[in-house]
Amino acid sequence: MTDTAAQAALHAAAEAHAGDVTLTGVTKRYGDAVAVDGLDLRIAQGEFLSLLGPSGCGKTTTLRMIAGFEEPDAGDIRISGASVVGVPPHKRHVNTVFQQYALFPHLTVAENVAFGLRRTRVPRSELGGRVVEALDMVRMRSFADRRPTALSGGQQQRIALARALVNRPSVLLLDEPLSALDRQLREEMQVELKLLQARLGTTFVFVTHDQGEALSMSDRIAVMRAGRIEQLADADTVYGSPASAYVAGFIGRQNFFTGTASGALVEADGVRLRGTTDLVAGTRVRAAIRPEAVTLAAGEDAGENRIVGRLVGISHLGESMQFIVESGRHSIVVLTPRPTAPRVEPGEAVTLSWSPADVAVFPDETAAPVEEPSA
Amino acid sequence: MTALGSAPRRAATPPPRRRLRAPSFLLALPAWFWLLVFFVAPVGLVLYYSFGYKPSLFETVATDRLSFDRYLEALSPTFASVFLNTLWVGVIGTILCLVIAMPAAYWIATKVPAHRRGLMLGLVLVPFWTNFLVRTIGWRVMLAPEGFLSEWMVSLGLGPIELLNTRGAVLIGVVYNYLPLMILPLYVAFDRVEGPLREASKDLGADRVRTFLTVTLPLARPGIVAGVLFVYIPLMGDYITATVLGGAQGTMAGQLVASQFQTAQNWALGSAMAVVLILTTVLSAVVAAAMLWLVTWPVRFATRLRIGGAS
Repeated sequence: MTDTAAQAALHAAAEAHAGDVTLTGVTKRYGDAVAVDGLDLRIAQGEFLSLLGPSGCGKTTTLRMIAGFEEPDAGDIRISGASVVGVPPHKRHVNTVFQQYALFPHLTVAENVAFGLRRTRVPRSELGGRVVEALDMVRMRSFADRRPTALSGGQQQRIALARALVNRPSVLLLDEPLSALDRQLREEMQVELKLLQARLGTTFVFVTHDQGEALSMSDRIAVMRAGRIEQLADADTVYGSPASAYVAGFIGRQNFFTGTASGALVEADGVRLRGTTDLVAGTRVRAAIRPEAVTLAAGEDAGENRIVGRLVGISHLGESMQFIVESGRHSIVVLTPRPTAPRVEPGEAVTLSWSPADVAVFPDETAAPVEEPSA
Repeated sequence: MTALGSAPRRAATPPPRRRLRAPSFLLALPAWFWLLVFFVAPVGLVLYYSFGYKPSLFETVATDRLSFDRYLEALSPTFASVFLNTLWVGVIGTILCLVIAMPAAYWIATKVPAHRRGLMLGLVLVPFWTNFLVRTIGWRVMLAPEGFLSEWMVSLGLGPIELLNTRGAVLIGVVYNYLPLMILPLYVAFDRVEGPLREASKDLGADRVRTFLTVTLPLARPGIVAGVLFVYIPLMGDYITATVLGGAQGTMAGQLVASQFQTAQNWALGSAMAVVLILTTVLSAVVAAAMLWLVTWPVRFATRLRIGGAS
């Protein structure tokens, strides 16, 4: 009796420990279109990993292959060490939070949450307790006997989360779960999701096109483009040292200058930028500077890493001020915290400056233009 | 200048007149009128006539003496067996339609690519483009003992088809005629159960069969009920199919009613039979619903989960 109990506990511990996901050379095609192109990705147990990219980059297809709704055309997917290729979704120890929640309208909130437990034959005596525990976790217990159709979007979102987590999955897959919520609720849920993930230690794979969401929650972010991973790193690295112009443009905002390099100097239509890396003279490059790295001052004082322009617009963004400055062919965005914002008027001549450390230089990929994030 | 010029003119325009608002139920007035004149009044008359009698050879109905005698006549063993026959064809025919239509409708709604569903539904409706009577007579040709189907069967050593002018022929006829009426509402019902719901079910550990039984079927239930009623009610009153294919053995209640009105000129008895037919249809549907409710009660009990109250 105690033997089997101990074994069960060991088994449970082993299961709780598992939850790493490994994708090796995973490819998925739809007709001629390649949705996912030889993807390699290792997600550690207990990690919060975001797949970030614009629509059509293959992030949702990747998630659906982990869930089992799509089968890869090539490559291998392993969950907790075991290959799941060919294993139907109902036999995989992963659960999904769907974009539109997909709550069952004919069942109450509690019955929705109990759905997965019933399939795995959790005894009836244990069922109610597990459901209440899951509902408490998302603070929705008092709604247990209501129909999901009577709930708001944010409440449905919580139920969807509880319905997935109650099964104690090795991996939780989240398919743009916050995209249907309004901004304030979305930000609240971001915090809640992160806290929940930290508390449970479950592996979270989060699909989003919203860079803010990815930055605020993820341990690591996989920035995807055309079925491949462009950069896989933590939020700070992805933001501070983007691997390509594409990543730089997708994460946060950038001022891009296309020009020719000679050593550490980039000449771009009258703007001279000095970076920190030496490049072969004559290379076509794109230099990027974050709006918040630019200092704006009244007056005219051109030079290296300094340009003169005309202020054309000022917008208040709450905690910061945004300035739009035109200089020759360039239109430059500057973000300054409100307290330190200079007093300037539209139409005035201003000087923009930045330090060499803030100049990021990428090879010019004119063949592959940078897509704008859709949100 | 133009802005200044227009200002006084705008002030001079009279305040908008109060619009006369008609009560919104008037929108349904044509439908109410239609129902009243062509449904409530005739059914009321039929009910009234059913208590009357046929006074003489040349008169159809008289209502100066009201009694239940026509009902006793309508339920006499000869006629009662026809009602039972009608019920048999109605119930079996509806069940057959449901069994055949369910996989077809599910397939069209969930497996056929969206851009080809319209074509599939169009094909379901193709038989409706021909006249009901012509289609049914077509089955006479198919089922005739001297017909080509029968000859093939004989050449295969399976003997001739002896279906024509039996209850079996009527059953084939009604299933054929009413199948599209079942497929269409079932298609709509299955189509309403969104793909993500089925995916969520599989994600939570339910295999295909479980998903169908616990998610798709309960959500499609209103459409299934609609389809069953769409088929069962007109099928119970059908008399063309039975007249063409049923012969003496396959008589249905609709034929009895028609013959009383048209041949025997006994409107009182015909009305009583019509009322019995209506009651049979309604009561059998109620009984079926109650049986289904009772049979599925353990399932509902097992799925029920009440947590109750505040946290």
